[in-house]
Amino acid sequence: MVFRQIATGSGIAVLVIMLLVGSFLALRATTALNSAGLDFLTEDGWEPDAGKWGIAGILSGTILVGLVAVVIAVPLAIGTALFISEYAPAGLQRSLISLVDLMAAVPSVVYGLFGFFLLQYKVVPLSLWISEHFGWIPIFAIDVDGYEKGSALTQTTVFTSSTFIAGMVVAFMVLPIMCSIMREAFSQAPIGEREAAFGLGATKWGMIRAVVLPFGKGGIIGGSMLGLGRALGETIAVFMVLAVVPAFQPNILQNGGSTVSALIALRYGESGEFSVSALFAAGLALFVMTLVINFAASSVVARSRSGAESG
Amino acid sequence: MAELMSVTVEQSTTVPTQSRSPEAEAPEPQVRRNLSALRTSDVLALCGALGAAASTTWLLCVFAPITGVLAPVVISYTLFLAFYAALVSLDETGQMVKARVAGAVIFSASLLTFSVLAVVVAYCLIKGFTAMKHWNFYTEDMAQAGPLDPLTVGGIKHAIVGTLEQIAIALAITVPLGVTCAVFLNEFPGRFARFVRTIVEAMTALPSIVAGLFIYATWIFTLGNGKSGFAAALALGVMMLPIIIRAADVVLRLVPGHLKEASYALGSSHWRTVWHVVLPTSRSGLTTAVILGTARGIGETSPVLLTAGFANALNTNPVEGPQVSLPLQAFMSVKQPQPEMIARGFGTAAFLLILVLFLFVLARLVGGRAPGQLSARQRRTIARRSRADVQRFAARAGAAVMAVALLGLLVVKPAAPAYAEDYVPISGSGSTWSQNALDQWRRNVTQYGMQVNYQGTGSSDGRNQFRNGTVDFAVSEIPYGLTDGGVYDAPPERKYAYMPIVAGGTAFMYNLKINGRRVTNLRLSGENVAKIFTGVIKMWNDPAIKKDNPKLALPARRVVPVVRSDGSGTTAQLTTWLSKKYGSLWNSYCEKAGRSAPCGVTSTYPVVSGSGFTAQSGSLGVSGYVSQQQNEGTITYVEYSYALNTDFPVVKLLNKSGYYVEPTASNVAVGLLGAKINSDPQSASYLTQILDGVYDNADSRAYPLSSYSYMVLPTEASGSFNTSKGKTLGAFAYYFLCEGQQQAPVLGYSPLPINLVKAGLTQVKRIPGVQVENVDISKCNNPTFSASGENVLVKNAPKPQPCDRIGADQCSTGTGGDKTETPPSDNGGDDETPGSTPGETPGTGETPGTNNPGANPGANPGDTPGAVIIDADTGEPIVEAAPGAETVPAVTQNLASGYSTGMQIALMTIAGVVLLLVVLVPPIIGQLIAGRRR
Repeated sequence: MVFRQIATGSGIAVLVIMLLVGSFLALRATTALNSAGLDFLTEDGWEPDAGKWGIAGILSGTILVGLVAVVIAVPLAIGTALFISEYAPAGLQRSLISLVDLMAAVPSVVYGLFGFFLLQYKVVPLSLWISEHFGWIPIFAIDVDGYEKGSALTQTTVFTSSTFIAGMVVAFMVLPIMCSIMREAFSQAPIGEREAAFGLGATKWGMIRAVVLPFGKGGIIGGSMLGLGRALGETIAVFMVLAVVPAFQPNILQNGGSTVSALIALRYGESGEFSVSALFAAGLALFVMTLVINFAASSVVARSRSGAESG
Repeated sequence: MAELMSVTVEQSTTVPTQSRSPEAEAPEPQVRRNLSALRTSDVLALCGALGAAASTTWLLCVFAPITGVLAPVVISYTLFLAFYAALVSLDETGQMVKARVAGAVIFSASLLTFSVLAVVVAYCLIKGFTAMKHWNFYTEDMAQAGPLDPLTVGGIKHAIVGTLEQIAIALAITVPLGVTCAVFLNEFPGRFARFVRTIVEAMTALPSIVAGLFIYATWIFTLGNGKSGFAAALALGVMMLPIIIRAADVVLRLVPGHLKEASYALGSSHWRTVWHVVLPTSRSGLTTAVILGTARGIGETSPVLLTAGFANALNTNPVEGPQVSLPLQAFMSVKQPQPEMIARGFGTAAFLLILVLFLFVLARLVGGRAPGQLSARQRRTIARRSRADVQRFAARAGAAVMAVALLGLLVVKPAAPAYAEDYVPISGSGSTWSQNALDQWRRNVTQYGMQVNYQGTGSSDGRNQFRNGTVDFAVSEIPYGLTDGGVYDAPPERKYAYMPIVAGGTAFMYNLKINGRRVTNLRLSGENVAKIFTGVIKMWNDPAIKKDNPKLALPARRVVPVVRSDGSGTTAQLTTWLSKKYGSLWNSYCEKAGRSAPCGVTSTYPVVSGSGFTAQSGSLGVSGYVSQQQNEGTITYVEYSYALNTDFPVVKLLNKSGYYVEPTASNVAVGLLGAKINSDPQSASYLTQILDGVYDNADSRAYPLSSYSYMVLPTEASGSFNTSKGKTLGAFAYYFLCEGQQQAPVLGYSPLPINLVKAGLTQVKRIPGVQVENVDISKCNNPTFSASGENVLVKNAPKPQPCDRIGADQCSTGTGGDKTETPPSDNGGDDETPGSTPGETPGTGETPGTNNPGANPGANPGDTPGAVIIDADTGEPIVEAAPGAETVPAVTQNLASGYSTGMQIALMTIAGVVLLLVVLVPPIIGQLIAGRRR
């Protein structure tokens, strides 16, 4: 049957394209990986042509940006999702849902502009404050030569272009996506159980704690993970804010950091054959990480009782 | 994306009183209450808590040292929650207090979310409005507009066209394929379909930049195609395909089984069921999926960044030449330091935002409902629709006609190409050091019909792209064949030659204030510069810096060196100087950064993490970072012109004879007298520079970090470079070697001396396809040499003032782009110096502004007539036909460019036919199949 053949053909075509991308990615990465060996996982610099390169620095930087984003976005997303599904008046609800979905479509370059021109210098005092009061926690420490805690002459430059600011920008980017998935999950909490909770004399918060949150647990975890997956792959907003220094840099408040995608954007052009392969290896590592997170997220979402679609 | 589409409000069946107002749960059954309204006590508690929190915070701020905006906000919010809990607990139980506080927290979280999102959008729109209110913003491109031009010139037409073409091509690829694939996944379930679905699901995790990198590595890097709109469309397609398949899959899955079964029961074939039941039922959902995929694709910057290249002019041909898109244009514009360019960037982003929001609203209007779910109006119209079936088919025929008409328009439109002359566009990339000069020249030659695209992506990138054949020329400060960090920078396989294009000084631009007043007359010795950029000097009040600046009381601020994060010729210039002059400092720094000593010249500045250095990409990146008001204490190395453009001062550098000098055009020209130029025409590195003599030039006016910038020219037609491109490149080279040099001093560069102009002109002859011109260089009006060939710029270069000499005195005049004076701030000689310095300054112009009229008063007035003649020679040899003998190349050029327009039309026609086929073939096949089955 012709129709069947056409349909199957398109399936095969898509499969071929996807496998082509995947296998090319893997192939090019392998070329680079073979020469780097285990150093790939432990080396934190990025000078592929000199043979000193690895993902320890950039991947940890990527994860840090992702974590900052998730830590900031998740509470806000939960609050917003709860507000929309439980507190907002019915008339407002629909428009709020549309608004959140709309925000998910805002181009990342817009978030980048916002982060670079507005947010960056508003956040510096916050970074300063955190580093002064919580500097004893390793990731909030500032490890710059000559930096003196509490000095009146503290440089604002120490706090600009940091992982923290980049993570914050990404947090606002992934916030709508997370919120949207969580709200979907919350709104599926069965009406019967909600009413049962009210019937037993629960307050609204009591009902949320007893019914909505347990039901939406899958949605919360899944939404957060999908948001994390998105945050890890974000390029342009991070590239605009972060000063890319490919090295292991655990102090998130401090100037300089790195992510895989920002490094690719920075270095793809000047890279020769081998360096491009090295970038592919980094891209592959990022891809695999995102893949694992996405699959885990969708299985969490699918398995939860709410059965919310992961979209 | 499913949650975007299947929006259902389950809330409506809840007991309304319970879901609407929190106070319904109050356990006080004996009092009858109005359930829907707020109680007075609720409002009072809220207001009371707010007021109490605000006033307590204010009190705290008055008595305790709390600064900034953030701390009071955090404190007052915490206080508010505490007060609110206390107030509510006065007349409620513990459970209720918890519920109220939780409600307040949730409400404030969502308020914060929505306000942040509103700020993001509003900020972009408001900042973008400055540019968007000008109509020319939509009707012009940036070919003629310079970065400093007002917003009434130039626009983003090229980016709009680029975005539309790229997304159209991406959609033409992904929509038929994606929807068919989704149909396959749903209609032929099985092990293979499951496998495909898993793979597709996996590919949605592919970061968009990796999709871009894939196309870059295959289509551009390996297959040797140039960067183009089509490559960008392919990258977008790879990125969008899984998204569209997945969304369409979800939508198709929701088609109710009974509809399909009903269709089968009527005896329809599988295909007819899909065509007449499944697809129409899910039409709105599919449209939404496609529109949302489009919105996602339109806003993506990273895949386009890697694949589209960058062009300032309109390029309607997606297959050939760089083509910029809206997000990329926004990204590139805001990297520039000029407020006009930033405004344009915001305008572009705002336009993009509006476009995406429009698409989104469209998606909402079209879809947003699950299949089978109908609004009242839809139900009403359905009856009308079924009556009008015949009309529907007629309308479809009409649509086909319209599509043909539209395509006809599309095909006709490029028949009037933007390039009026017979010059084909060329593109190059590389150095940001000389980008300002190239951008000016590029704009100037548009009047001759030449379109030259130049992307300042760093010298390393330029050399690499030239080696790969993705650009027609590259600009770099250093030649091929150097070993950088132990890696040999191999020369390209294609034949090439170097040609000097302009000279200039690598300047040290800084942002430093004394008591809130910007310092503009900082002086540094070479050793101190080396110590700053190797992290040895860490504070501005270091005694070594103090010694250079006797009149300045420098603050106890950290020195923040800003270096380039990308591979750069400027870095190479600086590190050559560092390694040759201050080898031990440089090597020990390099070792700290993990490189092996001796480090030598490098294009990527090694940064020691945590050393207080900041790395930014591009000259615009570093100068932009330094020029931020807040970034006090920063210092960077850029070409002098960037300091002029950002209105920032530069360091006066100590030269061999004990004077602190600025990299003005004349000081650079003097300095470069010490340069050794490779004068062996057989050598591969013919004309390249050895600068040791410049570093130690004993002239009191010499700027030690002067150097030339080079263009890498192809000397054979290979890959995408052909003779018609060679013609454009040749004419462009003739222009900037001769006439273009006049503008060098104004831009912050130094014009080439006569020997290099002559050598450059002979190099131009080696470009395949060039129309050889006999340029009379005495008419070039190059400020460096007079008609007799004497180096006027050097001859007229003013001697440095006495106050610029190493010692106890220091000039107070400003430098670079900031000429405001810096009064002596030192504790010592306050009384005498203000008197003496202003007295000195008016007499001794040492800045390019005052310098130029003085240096070449004879040349400038005479410019214009001579320039006009040269114009005709270089730009339009056929029109003027001055030298004669050029008819043969002219004919070939015409043929070649005619071929390219013909090619363009052919490509557009093919694209049109393909689109028509995409539109028409499925229904025709459907009819055929249906006919056979009957």
